[in-house]
Order: sequence, then C-alpha cells, then structure tokens
Amino acid sequence: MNDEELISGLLSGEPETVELVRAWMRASFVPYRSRLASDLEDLEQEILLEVTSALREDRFERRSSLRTYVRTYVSHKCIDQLRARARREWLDVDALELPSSAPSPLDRMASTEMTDLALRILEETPEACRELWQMLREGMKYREMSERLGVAEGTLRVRVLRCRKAALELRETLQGKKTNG
Amino acid sequence: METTHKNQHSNAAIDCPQAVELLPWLLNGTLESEEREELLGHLESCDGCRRELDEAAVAWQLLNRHVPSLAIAEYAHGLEPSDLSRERLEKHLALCPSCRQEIEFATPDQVVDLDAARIERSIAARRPDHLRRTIRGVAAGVAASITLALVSGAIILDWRENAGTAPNPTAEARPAERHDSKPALGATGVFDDGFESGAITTWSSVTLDDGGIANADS
Repeated sequence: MNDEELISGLLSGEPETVELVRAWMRASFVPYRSRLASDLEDLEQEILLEVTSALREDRFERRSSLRTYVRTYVSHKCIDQLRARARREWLDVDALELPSSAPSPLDRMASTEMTDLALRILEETPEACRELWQMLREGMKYREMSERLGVAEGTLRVRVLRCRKAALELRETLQGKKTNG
Repeated sequence: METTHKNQHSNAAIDCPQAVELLPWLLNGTLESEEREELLGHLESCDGCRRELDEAAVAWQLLNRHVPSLAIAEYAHGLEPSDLSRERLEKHLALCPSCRQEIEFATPDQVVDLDAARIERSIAARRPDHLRRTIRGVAAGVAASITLALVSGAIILDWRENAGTAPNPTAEARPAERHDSKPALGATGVFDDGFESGAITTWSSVTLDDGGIANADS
C-alpha cells in the first residue's frame, strides 16, 4: 500500500487507516510512556489532528515515508512537551513584573535564527563554564555548588558572573564576525 | 558591562554587586525566600540591576540553548535536520547529554510496532489488487508444481529407458505393477526424494512406495 492511498484513507476517515496511523503513533510513544503518562491520550489526539491537517493542506513534503513522517512528528511533540515541563521549573523573568522599558530579553532570543549562534557560543564556552551552567540548570543552590566544587561561595558566584559575561562577549564577537563576514 | 552602577537603594539589605552575583540563582529558582525577597526588592528600585537581570536572562538562554526539537526528531529518524546544519547539531550533541538522551529516545530502534504491522497486513489483504496478486501467485504455484511433476516424470522415464537392459530385481518381481497399476487421477504420488506432491491431475510417472515405478499417461 503506498503513501498516497494511506493519505487518502486517513483524510476520508477510513477506520483501519486511522487505526494504522494511531498504531504508528503509539509505538513512537513507547520511550516516553513513563514520563508523559498523563498527557499521552491528549497528545495522541492532538498529533492526529495536526498530522491530518498537515496532510490536508499538503504540508507533508514527502522527504520520507508517511510512517517516518508521523513518527518524527510524534518524537518532536514529545520532546517539546518534556522541554516545556522542564522550563516551568525555572523563573520566568517577564513574570516578575519588574518595570522595564526594553523588549523582553527572552523575546530577543526567541527567534530561530539565533539558535545557530547560541549553539556556537556554547561550543566555544570553556568546559568549566558549561559545567557551572549545567549545575544551575539542574537546580543547584549556590551553597551546594560551592561544596561540590570545593570553593568558597563568594568565589563561585564571581566565577559564574565571569562565565556569564564571557558568554555575552562571545555573542558580540560572533555577531560582529557574522555582520562583517 | 557595568556591574558597580550607583546603588539607588542605600538602605537595601544587599548592594548591587551582591545582587548581580545572585541573579543566576534567582533565575534557577533556588534562592532562599528571604534572600529572594531582598533581591526582588532591590531590583524593583534599581534600573542598573534590572538591566543586569535582562542580560543574565539572555546569557541563561544562550547557555541553555538546545537543538530544536524538530531537528532532534528528524535526525533521530535519519532525515536531514530542518533549519540547522548536521555539523552544528552533531557538535552540540558531543557537548550536551540531554540532547543526546532525546536522540536516543526518539530513535526508531526503541519502538516495537507489532500492532501497526498487523493492521498493515490486514489493510493490504483486503485490497483488490492484493487479491489479484494472490490468485496469480496461487496459479503460478500450481503451474510450477505441474511442470515439476512433468519434468521429474520425463527424467525418471528417460532413466528407466536407458537402464532398461540392466536387470531390475524389483521390476522383474512385479511386472504387472510396473505396467498395469495406473494410479487414479487425483491420487497422491511420492517422488524419489520422498517429496509428497499433493493432489495432481496429470501423471507422467510416479514411484510406488516400494520403489517400483508406474508409468502414467500425460
């Protein structure tokens, strides 16, 4: 059975084809089952609607088989869901409602074209700084970090500050190279 | 970047350098409540430290950047990642355990879709062209069996004719069976190698259970 027939069956709501697509989706959910347990049912429904909509609007580029497309879509949505959960644990600067005249720094960083730059900055950041940032991301308090690293709290806080400034300077440098280059 | 800007809160419990140093832990939500309240109080009235907070948030975003989820999923499924070069993605993977884990989870090897395979077979079996293919396949199988039977018969007959001058104790003992025991059409024959042919409608020759040979009409 070729993909065009499957797409046609799915769009016309043919039960067996819908069930086949759901089976592909459920198989792709397996690695996420324990971590997304309560969300999986809603997610399955949401993905099915989105995939159907993408097919109806001919947004399926046929870079792969329909099955790979569906499975890729499921993985993408599950990763998004897990990342969104992790983000909720961190402070939203905008939610602080502090007086500010500048656009949100998060808005400035939100565009996808910044991804490449951010990944390059991370690549060029010294390992010691990446390690500090990893600990922050894991939700460690500065006291815990200073104990783990065996340094005074004041020393640790200054190191983190230096790493932060180095990352921003690196951004300026790389953006300058991009602008000039 | 200015971190020792004028402290607008001379009576605040923490000063600007302290406030600036604590910002990463404000962002990761691990400050003790008293320290947090003091810092937020300072930020409310200090423009310089609010700018620092903005910068800290940008740095946080830069250093916590990951490969976009779609690119992770595409890479895991063997596709070219969207909006990101494969080289950049792989360099990031070398540094980032969490993205590596996401790749691992999304890799199709992790999934077992027996259900899908069963449904695919079921859909395929109900298709008219599948039925046509099945019928053609069965017909081809029957034709092949008949051809095999004919060819085998011809070979055995030829061998018998060539070996006809040599004494054959079995044949000598049962001449009637050799020439007269013509099996009924539709009977089951056993070939020399023990292969049971099933019901066949045209006989050339079959061997009998004891090794004797019966000739049959084509």
